[in-house]
Parts: sequence; structure tokens; C-alpha cells
Amino acid sequence: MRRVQRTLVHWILPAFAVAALVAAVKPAAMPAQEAEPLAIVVNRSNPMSEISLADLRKLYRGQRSRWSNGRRVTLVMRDPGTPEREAILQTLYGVDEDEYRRGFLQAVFTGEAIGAPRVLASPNGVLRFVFNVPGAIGYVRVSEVDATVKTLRVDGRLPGEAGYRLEVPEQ
Amino acid sequence: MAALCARAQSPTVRPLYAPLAGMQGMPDTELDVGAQPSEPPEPALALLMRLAEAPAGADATAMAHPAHRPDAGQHADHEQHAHDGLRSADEKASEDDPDAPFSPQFQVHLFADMKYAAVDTTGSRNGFSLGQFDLFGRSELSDAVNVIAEATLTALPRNTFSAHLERLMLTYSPSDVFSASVGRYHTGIGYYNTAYHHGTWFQTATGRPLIYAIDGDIGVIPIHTLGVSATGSIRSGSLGLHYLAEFGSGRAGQASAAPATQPALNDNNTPSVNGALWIRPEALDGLQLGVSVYRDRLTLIDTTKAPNDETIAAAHIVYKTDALELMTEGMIMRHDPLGGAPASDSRGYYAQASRRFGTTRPYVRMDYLDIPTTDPLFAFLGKRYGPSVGVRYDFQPFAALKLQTSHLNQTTRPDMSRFDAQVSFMF
Repeated sequence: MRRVQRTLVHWILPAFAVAALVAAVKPAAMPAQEAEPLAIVVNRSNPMSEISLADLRKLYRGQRSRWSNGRRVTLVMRDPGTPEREAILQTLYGVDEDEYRRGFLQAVFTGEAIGAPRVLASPNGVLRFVFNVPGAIGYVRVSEVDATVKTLRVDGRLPGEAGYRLEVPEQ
Repeated sequence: MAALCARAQSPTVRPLYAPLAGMQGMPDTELDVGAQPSEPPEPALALLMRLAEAPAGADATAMAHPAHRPDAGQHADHEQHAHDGLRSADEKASEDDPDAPFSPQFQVHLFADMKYAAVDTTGSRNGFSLGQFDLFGRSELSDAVNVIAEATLTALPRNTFSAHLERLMLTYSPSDVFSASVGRYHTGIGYYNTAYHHGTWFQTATGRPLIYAIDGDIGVIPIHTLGVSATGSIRSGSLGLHYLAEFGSGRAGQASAAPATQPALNDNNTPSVNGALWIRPEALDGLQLGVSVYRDRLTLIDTTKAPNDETIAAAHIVYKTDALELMTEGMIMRHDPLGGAPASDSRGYYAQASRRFGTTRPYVRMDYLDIPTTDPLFAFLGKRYGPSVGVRYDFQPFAALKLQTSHLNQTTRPDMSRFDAQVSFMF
């Protein structure tokens, strides 16, 4: 028994402590980069004009599948590797590309999510898709937004207002 | 930036970027989906014919937009090519309305695993083996109805396989607060049983926890149920409350979909019921806490023994983030014979922790299951407990290598240590 305790004190606990330290150490902060707000856009017929970040997370994770008018939500994502997509993965999913794929596949596998998002290659494609599909929701840089879609306030803020949390490095 | 955004939304200001393809004729004023373009009206007969050719239910207003006109589309494509270069196939697909009904399309994913196992138990042989070949398919019949089907081929000794239809569910989900399924599904007991199914690629470890082992072998809970199920979210603000209610045929009644899960059981007319509640609080993203209670009546093949009322209560706490995975679940299973004989309570739990470092995820799990000798079904399992330590390496986005070593203390069998090297993947 004493040997077990000694092993625990001398080896296992320090090992856990070191592991915890390693986990806590974060890479050195990168130099600050100019950021551009990312606008969340929906079809103009969508009755919503505002959404909370928590609800946006639920939508993008497939945990909410219907709009308030009963129409099914159609998610739009940009191509893998684009800064816009990475910003959304970081802010709404809190994961990287591999974990995102695995998580969404698992949600579809368990029946929790209805289907994977539509992946579009350009902001034009996103705007066009959102314009054409009443239940669609997507994201583009604020400089790419036009009058064919509606920009949602997130937590009461429009893109660029103080406290708006969806940002992407400037091009 | 706010001004920029407001300007983009302004009905009187031109878009800040090049016009969308196919929208050359659009007025500068704010355009609703239902708004008509400033073009000569389409002859009624032509419009009717075009709508008749379109899939039933397609959005007429969206179709009426110039972006959907074949002639305007050609012009639009040309414009966009000049602006963006070649469009991707995905972007071409963006011209379709996914809300419009279509003929069912069956999407298939396959999961498989194979492993090398070294076991120190007398009589066990070390070597390679195929795991489970899992065919998962899903099809949408309409906006609110979908089908999930899952069939497995499991490798057995002597080059034989067992085939099971694990899941076959028709689901109607008209809203987020209510969704109903009929068919064969994973029983909503606890967390692991519904979060992880038969594709081992999703699971961090090489196998399921002891308390969720597949029934019919060493498993103790009814993994599957044949019946109806309802689930949804309950309006609870930031609490994120969800419910589940299931009404099925019980353990023995599943023989119509697969071999009897528990050979000691006979069919009866008493249905099984299961209820679960869980929360996902917004305050701590990744946290889930839940409870479930399952109830059934078991009729034993040995008719000299009284039927048993079975109650399985389970609770779980799960915290999952991008890197961290902490899961623990506890379960109490009571078998209460009718007629006053004492009930037997079985207990089990597992706790699993893992942390991801890039593509590598070390993990540790502790399993515990204690079945009393008085239990009418699982007394042969006795008490079993022990740790598992392993590492998962995702060498490809859809393929993983897992190395795991485990030790199991057992009261009804010799203790066992084993090493598993498993490759699991989906395709």
C-alpha cells in the first residue's frame, strides 16, 4: 500500500501536474492583425433581424433546425481553408477543421443534425444562395454585403459596432 | 464598419461589390424575395409551363428572379466568370433551392475497423481480427421526414460474420421542440449509447465502456429498442433543456429485428418505456448533464421464476471542447421479481478523460460494473473493473490508429490484461 502511495506521490501526480502545465502553456501571441467584421446574412424574407451568439452557435451546430416561421434552416459555409470559414469554426464551433468534420458527421450519424451545410466557394456564391433560398444563413465580409440579403444583428450589434465578436483578418 | 454595414443594407445605396451574377436588371432599391424585377412580365402561359416543369413546391418567387431565368443565367454566368473566374460545382449547385422537394437520395457512409489484440488470458489467442463493418445511410423524404438505416457485419471466429440491422428509423421533425421516430433505434439510456453507435471511428477509445457494451455478449443494458420515440428541446432560456420519451417492445421483443438480445428472456406484451432529460447550459459551452430512467418487465424463459420489473436509472456529466473530453456516467439497474422476492441492484460507471494535441489524443478510462449473484440475468458477469490507457492518432482526417492497453479485474473469470492496436476509418 505504501509503495502504491509512493508511486502516486512521486510519479503519477507530478506527471499530471506537468501535463496540466503543458496544456496550459499557449503559443506566443501573434502580432495583432487588422480585422474585418464578418456579417451574418439571411434571406430578406426571414422574419429575424437579430440573433444571439448562443442561438447562432446552435444553428450552426445543427442543434436548431427551424426558423421562427417554421422554415428549415439551410446552413452555408465557405470552402475549407478560407479565413472566413476558420473564423466561424473558431467563434461558433470552437474547433478546427478536422474536429468540425468529425463533430458534424457524428451529429448526422446520431440523427441530431439534419444535414451538412452547403459549401460555397465565393462570397458571390454565398450571397446568391442566401438570396435564392428563404431558409438560408451564411456569412461574408462586411465589405461584401449588398442589398440582396439581410444582415443580422448578433447580440444586438451590427458588424463593426463595439463588442461585435465575429471578425476575420483583413484581406 | 457599422456605417459600412448600414450602407450595405440601405435601400438607396448601390452594393459595395460587383453586382451578383444574374442581377444586372435589378433596381437599386431594396429587393424582397417576392419583389419582381423591372423586366417585362413573363407571359402567364410560359410562366405556368416553367413552374410545371420545376419540382413540386419550388419557390416560385425565387424562380421568378432573373437569377433563375435560363437566359439571364447565361448572361449572369458570363459576368461572374469575368469577375471570379470559373465557378465551383458547389456554386453551381447554389442555383438550386434545397428547400424544394426532390426524389429521395440515399447518402451512404461506411465505417470499418480492424485490430491486433494480445490478451494474457489462458486460452486466448493473439492476432489480427476484423472488427465491425458498418453501413450507415440516410435519406430525406421531404422537408420534415427522413430515414436513417444502419446495418453491420461483425466478424466472428472461424471466418464467419453476423449481420444485424442495427437501426432503421423513420423520423418526422416538424420543429425543434418535437421530433418523432418509429423503428429500431439506440435506446436513450445515458449519454454514450446515443452519442456513439457502431462506427468505432467516432469513439476516442477502441471500444465502448463496460456498462454500454453491446448486449447479447457482455452488455447489460438494452442497447436497442424497437418502438416509437419523441425528442426535442424545451423552452428554457440559457439552460438548454431537452427531453426524450421512448415507448418500445422491450428487450425480448426485438427479436423481429435481430437475434434475441438476451437468450434468457421470453417475449411478453409489456412495453418498455424510457424517459430522459438533459441540459446544455449556454454558460459553459460543451457541458451536458442528463438523467434517464428506463422501465420494462422481463419474462424469463425459465417459467419457474417470476417475471422481473426492470428499472435502469442513469446519469451523466459530459464536457467536450475542441481539445478536452471529460465524460462520466453512472448507472443503477434494478431487477425486482414479482411476488415479493428481494430485488437485486447492479451498479456501474465509467469515467473517461482525453486531451487532444494536434492529431494525437491520449486518453484514460476507468470502468466499473458490479452485478450481484442474485441477478436473474447477468449474475455470471460478477464484478468487473479496471483501467484503460491509450492514445489515438488521427493520421488522416477520416482514419485513426488507436493503441490501448487495459486491465480488467473480474470476480467470475480470471483477471485479464490486453493490448489492442486498432485502425478505424470511415469512407
